[in-house]
Amino acid sequence: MPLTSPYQDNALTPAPQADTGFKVSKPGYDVNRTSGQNMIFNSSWPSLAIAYEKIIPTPSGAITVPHNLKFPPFTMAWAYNPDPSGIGNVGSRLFPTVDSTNVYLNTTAAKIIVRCFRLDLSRDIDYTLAPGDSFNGPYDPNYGIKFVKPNKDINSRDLRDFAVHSRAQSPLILSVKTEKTIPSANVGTGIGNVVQYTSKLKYPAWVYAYTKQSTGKYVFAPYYSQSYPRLFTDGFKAYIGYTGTDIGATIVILRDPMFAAQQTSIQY
Amino acid sequence: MAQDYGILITAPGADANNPAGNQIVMDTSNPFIKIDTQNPAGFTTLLLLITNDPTEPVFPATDRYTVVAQFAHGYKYIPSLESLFFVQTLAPGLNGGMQYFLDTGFLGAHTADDGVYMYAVADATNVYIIVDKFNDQSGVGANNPLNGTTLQITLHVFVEDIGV
Repeated sequence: MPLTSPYQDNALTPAPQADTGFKVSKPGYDVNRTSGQNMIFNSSWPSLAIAYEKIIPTPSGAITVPHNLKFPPFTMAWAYNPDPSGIGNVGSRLFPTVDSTNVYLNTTAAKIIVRCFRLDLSRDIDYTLAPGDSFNGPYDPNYGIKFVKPNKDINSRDLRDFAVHSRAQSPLILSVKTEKTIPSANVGTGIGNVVQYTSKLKYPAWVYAYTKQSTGKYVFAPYYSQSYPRLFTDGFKAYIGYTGTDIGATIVILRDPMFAAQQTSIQY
Repeated sequence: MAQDYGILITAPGADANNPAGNQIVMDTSNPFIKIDTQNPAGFTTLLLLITNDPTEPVFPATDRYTVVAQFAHGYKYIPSLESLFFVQTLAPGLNGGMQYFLDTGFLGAHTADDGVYMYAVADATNVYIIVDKFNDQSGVGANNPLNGTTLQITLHVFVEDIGV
């Protein structure tokens, strides 16, 4: 059953358009006709570029990590620890609190890697939808574009050695909605002020959300959490309320589909 | 690190010679976090049907973990992983669970002293989907059978490792 909501969508903030740019499609897809999710890169909208990265050995308790990006970045971290199931050491993702200067962690692990992406949680923006789908041809390893990282071999077969490689796709940004574009009808509702977005994509897409504290910190809001803050979404519609001393909220919407076209059935 | 060579692309209207950080669309000094489009495990959706109920914890243990699915990701290191769970059908009697969740989430419970979590993690070989059943106190909480539960689980296995 689709998610319903009594609230209205935030106002649009169209991204600046240009007749010039640079775009690369996934191997086998026509760059002029394919849908947005089949782009490796398109200068009309951003991907998740890593603006700051840091490895923290043996973190324990509350830690502040300065990123100094001058904007609150969409951030992910992965903790390295023995899994309680007994399978051994694993990586598990977390979403730390961030502001325009720091990342705030409060966890214990053998190691944590923090990645701040070049995506500003405080800035509304709506990128253009791309035209429809097209055929998928075979991959040609002799055709494409790649940018190697400093001191790495351009002929490396390890994709970690490349900043950009037309064989590898980064999550693609569709929109960012914040409290700055809330319609008046969404102010003072039963769940506070509400940021809402309804996607025009034909498929459900990945969504992330944060609430913004009066200190400028952004706190991640899990899907359907039992406690505040929480994001409600089905991949088409997404909304989050902020209340109390919080002064805002942000929803980040990707072009990436929630579900692969071909699914693998598994029975346990 | 900053370089004297490469490609820098800003958003339309932003000066490429002195852009603000949030105006940069692409900078080859900043790598993208990325998924190998030629690795079938890079972007996967599992349709998981649970017909064999994972084991309940036995007091004094409060938790019992069961790997209900796993697959090889194709790398020889621990990759960065993200996962999205959608609960299509939940076994009867479980209450208060999340219909959608990222990475780790609560499927539901019968009482305040028991419940079931599910999560996804990766080691240097595989991605694992794990059920965690818990029961705080012997004889107080209830069992949480999962027979008949179906979920769609999407996994993004990124090329980037987790720094180990």
